[in-house]
Amino acid sequence: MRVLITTFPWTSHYLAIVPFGWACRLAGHEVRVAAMPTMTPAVLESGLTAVPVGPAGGPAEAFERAGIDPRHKPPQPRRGAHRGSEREKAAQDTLSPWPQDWPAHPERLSDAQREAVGRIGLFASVIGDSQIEDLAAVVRGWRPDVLVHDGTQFAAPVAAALTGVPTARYLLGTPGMLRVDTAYGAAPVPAYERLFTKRGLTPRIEPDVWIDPCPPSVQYAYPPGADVLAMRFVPYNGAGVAPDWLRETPARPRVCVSWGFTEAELSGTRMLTLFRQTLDALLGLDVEPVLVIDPKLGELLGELPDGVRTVLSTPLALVLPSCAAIVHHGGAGTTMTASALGVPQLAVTTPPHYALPGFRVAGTGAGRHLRVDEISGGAAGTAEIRGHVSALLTEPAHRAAATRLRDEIAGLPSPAAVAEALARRVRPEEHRSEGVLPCAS
Amino acid sequence: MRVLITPFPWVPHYYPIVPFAWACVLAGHEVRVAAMPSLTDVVTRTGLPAAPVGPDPAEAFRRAGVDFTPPRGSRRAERPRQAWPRDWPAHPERLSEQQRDYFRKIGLFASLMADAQLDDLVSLARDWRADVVVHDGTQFAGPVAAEALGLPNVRYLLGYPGQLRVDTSYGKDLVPEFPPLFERFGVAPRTEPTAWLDPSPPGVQYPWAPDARVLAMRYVPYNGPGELPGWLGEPPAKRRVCMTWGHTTAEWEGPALVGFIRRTIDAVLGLDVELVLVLSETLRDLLGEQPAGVRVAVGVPMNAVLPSCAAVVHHAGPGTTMAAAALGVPQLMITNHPHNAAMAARIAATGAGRHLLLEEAPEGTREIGAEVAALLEKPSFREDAARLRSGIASQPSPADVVTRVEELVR
Repeated sequence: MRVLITTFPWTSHYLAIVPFGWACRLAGHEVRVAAMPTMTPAVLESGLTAVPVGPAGGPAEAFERAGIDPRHKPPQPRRGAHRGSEREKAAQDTLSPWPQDWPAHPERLSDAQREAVGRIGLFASVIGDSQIEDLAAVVRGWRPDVLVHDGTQFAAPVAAALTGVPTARYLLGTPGMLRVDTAYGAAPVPAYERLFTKRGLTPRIEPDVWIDPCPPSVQYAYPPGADVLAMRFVPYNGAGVAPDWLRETPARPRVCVSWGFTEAELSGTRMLTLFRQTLDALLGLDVEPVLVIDPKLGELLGELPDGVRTVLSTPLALVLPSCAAIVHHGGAGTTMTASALGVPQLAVTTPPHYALPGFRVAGTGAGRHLRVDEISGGAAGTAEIRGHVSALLTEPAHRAAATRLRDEIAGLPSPAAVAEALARRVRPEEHRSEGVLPCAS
Repeated sequence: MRVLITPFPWVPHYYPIVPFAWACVLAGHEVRVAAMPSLTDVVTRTGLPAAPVGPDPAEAFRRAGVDFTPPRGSRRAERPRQAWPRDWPAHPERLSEQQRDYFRKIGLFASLMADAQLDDLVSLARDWRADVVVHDGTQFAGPVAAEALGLPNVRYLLGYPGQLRVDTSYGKDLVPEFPPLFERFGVAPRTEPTAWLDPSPPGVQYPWAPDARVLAMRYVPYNGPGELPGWLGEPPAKRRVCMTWGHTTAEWEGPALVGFIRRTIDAVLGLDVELVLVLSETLRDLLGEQPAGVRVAVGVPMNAVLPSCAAVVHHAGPGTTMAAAALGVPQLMITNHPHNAAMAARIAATGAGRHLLLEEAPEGTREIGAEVAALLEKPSFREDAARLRSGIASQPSPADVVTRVEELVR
């Protein structure tokens, strides 16, 4: 079959689908990756074939065309700050504790919280809008059997509605269904809806089938009727050169610290403080701290204390197998990579989405989870973090649970099996001899 | 399992193992691609982790005091002019001394390149605790590292029929520079791998010795990453014929071939087809501007172009030939290299294409045009290409082969 993968122009959204793309290639399918031109380097790095869609300048150009200022700086939490203004109030509502298990219980969200999710939907609409015609032209020209897309790539469902191609919507490893299209409500957010209506289409929010790499013990229950292909999460964090020191077994337990650049930039100075606290916490333990970060974050951090090994532009999956524990920001790729490799983890997160994987993984016992605002300032916070990391290293229950989670992930259907299941749904005529499964649409 | 993949640092030797490497990653294994630094940028554009070993080839040659400048345009003269015997990879006794000397020279080159990276490769394999070494036949450092550390080794082929025996120059004896590589580590030469990994299709590969341990693998066409031009997203208005002269051939022999390639382009333009030229930058510049209507693609992987093509004209490099075979595209192969010629002859024998030696290829555009027209008009070419394609598809998948390699390691 011909598989057209399309992704939100953000590297982490693409990395999650690369193993599936490889599996399709290995099964003899044709694969092309349609994404904004700013994504082409990431696609080429993964070894696959890129088809650029949308404006050459990527998201920035899309925002410019739409006349929208994308500088999406979430307001900083200010301890004890005056909370009088509406803006401050909204800020606190989005940053202060989100209701427990909110993706499974969206009714628990406050209006401000739902608005915060809706705002992501607005941005995704602007980015999606700028690619729809290109993407539909690619579909019409190449005639893929299926359009595989992530939930934030709004161009995909619209292009599918324009062309009639079946869709498979993939998740990134985060629990929940990443429903930015509906802001976790029953109806699409207005900006999403307009993408359809302005083209004379009826809005469509459900894909033909879901592809989900989040393991069941971390994932929430699906809504009734959802057709979901569960898939084993295979770590892929980009290509890179393996550093020489990774050849040798570490003398002391190695503890990895990894912060996504996006999260670091968005969280501002609070994150920098937290980062220092984390490094100080590790330096007080008999461990080898290894910092795996994006070069841009390296610049932001400035000089680091002695005794911390810093690794730039190296895929996490190369470093983690040698680590006894990891402290991270809760990104889906990081959390799931640690989970798939059986490494106990401490996730220190800001809500809403980053908090979910860490919170749910902590629920399995394979790690611990802290919200940023739960950590004290200064030395007290350092001691708290040290206590949690120490527990990950010494309490056998964490290691046992991390091993269980790893085994659970390993036991899920391989990307190859999912590729085959998808082919049965979209090309049943080629699988008649093996029994026909009806197309989900 | 930790899988150390080590290719000869040359793209045509690396791409054929990428699907196996992906299958290893998908099965949850750790992979490192250990190659000379000149290959690092290629490796990190296949989604895989690179572990550079040794210096670049040029430095290896300099250290060995051997002059090696890529023989631009001169290579044809260097190669034995006499015709290569039919099925020579299966019948090395038919080779002349002069022809065998040609392989001895490749063996010398491969040895000095291995020598320059061996210390790095062995320490990487030891420190990283590799479970298995997967290498191609020209990467002599592979079996040395495996033997030095007592590891199994899997020797992979590139799709060519035969065993690519540069280590013995297709004779009974090893090339003289091969055993000293092992002596450095106090071990005896390992001449036969623990297992062969062979993506050559049934009916194209020669029969193996009954005691050879061979893992047959489905050939998955992979010609690298690439950004596709818009027209590749549209069905062609007319039947599409693709022409390529590969990368290595174009780089080394382009100037000598330009006249012939121009005539071949003219020949195809005389047919009612859309011509797609897939070129290296060097060859694009050598050929100059093309007539209107000719599609020129630079840096586009063949595996993305071929599914839309009705026929392909090329030099029979292993990547192009096997991609066309795996995708069921009839092919006209015009060769001037002994390995390519051996492969093209075997593919042509299946009926899936035609083979011409460059020396014997017709000079006239009308004759070449007739060869291409036959591929398009005679149904047998398409039918036999489809048969070859299903033969390849029925081979064990890379994932199956990974399971077999796991058994070797246990």
